[in-house]
Amino acid sequence: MNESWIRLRALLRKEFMQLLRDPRMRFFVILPPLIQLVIFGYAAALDVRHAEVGVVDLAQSPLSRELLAAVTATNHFTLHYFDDMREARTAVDRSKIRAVMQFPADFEQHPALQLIADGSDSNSAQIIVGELSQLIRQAMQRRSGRIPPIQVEDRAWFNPNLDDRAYFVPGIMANVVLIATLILTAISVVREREIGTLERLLVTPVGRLEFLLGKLIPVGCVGLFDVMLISIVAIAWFGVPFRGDLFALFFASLLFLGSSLGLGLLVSSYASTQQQAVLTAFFIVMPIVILSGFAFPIRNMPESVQLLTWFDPLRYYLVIVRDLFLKGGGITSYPFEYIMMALLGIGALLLSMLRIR
Amino acid sequence: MRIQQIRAMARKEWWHLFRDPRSLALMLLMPSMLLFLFGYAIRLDVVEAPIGVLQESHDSLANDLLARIEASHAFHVVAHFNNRRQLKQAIQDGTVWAALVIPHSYAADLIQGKAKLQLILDGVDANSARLVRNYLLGLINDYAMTLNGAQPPIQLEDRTWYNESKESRYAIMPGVIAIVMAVIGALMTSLTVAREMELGNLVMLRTTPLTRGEFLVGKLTPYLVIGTLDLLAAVAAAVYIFDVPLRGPFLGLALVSVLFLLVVSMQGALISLIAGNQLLASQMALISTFLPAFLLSGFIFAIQNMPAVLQYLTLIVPARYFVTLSKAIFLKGTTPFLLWGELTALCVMTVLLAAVLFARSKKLGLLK
Repeated sequence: MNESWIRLRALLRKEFMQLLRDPRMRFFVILPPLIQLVIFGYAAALDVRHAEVGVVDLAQSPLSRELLAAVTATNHFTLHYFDDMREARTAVDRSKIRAVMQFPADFEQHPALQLIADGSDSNSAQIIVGELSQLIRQAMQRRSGRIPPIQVEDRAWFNPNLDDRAYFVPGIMANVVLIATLILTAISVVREREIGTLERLLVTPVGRLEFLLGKLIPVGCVGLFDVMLISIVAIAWFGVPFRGDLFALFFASLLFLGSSLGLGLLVSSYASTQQQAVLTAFFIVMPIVILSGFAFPIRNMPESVQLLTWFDPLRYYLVIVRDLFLKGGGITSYPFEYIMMALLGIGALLLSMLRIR
Repeated sequence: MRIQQIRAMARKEWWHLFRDPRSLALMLLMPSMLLFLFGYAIRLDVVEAPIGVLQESHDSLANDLLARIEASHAFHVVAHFNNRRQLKQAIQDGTVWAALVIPHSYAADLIQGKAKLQLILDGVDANSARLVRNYLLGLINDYAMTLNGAQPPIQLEDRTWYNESKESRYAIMPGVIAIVMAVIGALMTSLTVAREMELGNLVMLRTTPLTRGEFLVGKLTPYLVIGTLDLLAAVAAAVYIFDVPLRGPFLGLALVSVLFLLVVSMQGALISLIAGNQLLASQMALISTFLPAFLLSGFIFAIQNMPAVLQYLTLIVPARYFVTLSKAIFLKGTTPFLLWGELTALCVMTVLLAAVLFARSKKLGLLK
């Protein structure tokens, strides 16, 4: 046991040195996760701001101008005026504007307004049109002095301003950690095989378990370090609240890293060159990301695809991390998710240990 | 540049590819697989969103309102709560996305024209919450305005150009092709030069009369061919399996696609040169292609929404131009030349990358 410990220590030293020897690699562990978080923290927003909207005002009446003023006043829309629909259509074709409002010539007599969304724009055009119609309805109601008999008071829990960032930032953290650790694990094992140093390790008294632990522990440390780093930046820079239990975050990350390292090992057991390893790893990472509910709600997927998401460790990690950040709660809040992650992690690790001899 | 040398280099690369059928199969199958995954998994609109209702008043007016909501395809009432505690729990667990409270006094208030409803949203998924809120507010508002048989003060007619059925798949597919090719194209080439450097084959190549220009062209050609096959498969799958209309000229799409492939494969080769080993190269390729293509290309997240600095950053993401072009050619039926700005940008990128690549390849130590 004692000797085994000494061997493991030696291996760990070698692995840490190998991983962090190259200054570019050191840089790689720290800077890219941060850069990604900052860039994507700002980029990932689905709400409407500065939306480019075309206006074809054939009426040029006080009413149409009043409505347009109400739209401009929100500062959410930038209006572009066109003389006729043909011009507006060309602008849509060239993707300069994403929606068009058309006021017919007899708008003053028959207030009917056409709102056109660019259907090639998956999400934002719909939101733009939704928001525009809301605005115009309210403006018209104010004008006519008729208050609708039902008022709805809406309130969003956990995220009162409906800030997309609070939803996406924890997701970006999980993605960055997954991509980095899965591929690092896969490649670091295959590299020994491709370069031929695995042969040399085989003649040493190092056992299989020691070898694998020596590979997994450094990458696991890198993963945990990235989780910590990104969480700190998410909280300090982006002001994402953290309402949950820090220990729960640590524990969930540990379980998640178990699955991601296990999958990395599994990939390495199938690959004989680094190229194969990277391609296979990517082949696995993409579905994991898409099916996790990171950007696309799982509920919206067809039933059969929803079944597939059961095998996605990222899915469980995302649920836990998002709720730890936004809703609060501790280690007991999501027993099912913890168990599923543990099962997937143990499954992947066992399977790959059986395959690597 | 001598054709013979390039052919020899390309042949070597082909051998390498054919000797490793698994990698080749992955390169050829991955784009279609990803397309299927995206095609089936992605939906951003609200269909059958699970909502809950706390109905404190059970008279006919409240039932009428509820029936109106249940009739809409956007919502699916999955829970009827008996008290606030249940409602709170359901939102906390995420079993409902939103909860509507119809208070005791609803009917009495409605007759006086001042009924109040309460809508509680799970704000964690801000986008879904926003969509649910907008749909529901619009629905209730329309219902309320017509209650007394009155005409609403304005008629709003919603139309969606190029996608009348609002099928989100149509809008997503052309973008997905761009994302998938951005990643595959760069990933394939990012490893090839680094491999030669790492395994020491470069030393052998230095003893040959091969120049660095010939080396690069020969290296990239096979991957361009594979990439083109990938693209054809992806377009065919989008058109024939997912029924996405290809309204523009196929040749235009092909031209733009090949240009785009050229850009991303040179991007991969450049990464390879800078990294020098496959571990770093693969990580750099993934980081610099997948997430930027996914998030900074305008595929899902609108570029106009981003802070100014980021908007400038998107200018160097090649996928940005290809996403716009591909969407326009597929759905709007335009020719690439109408979007000359995007087309020029891709051309400029090609030339710039070729120049940088050639300059950086000096460190390979090949001739010239």
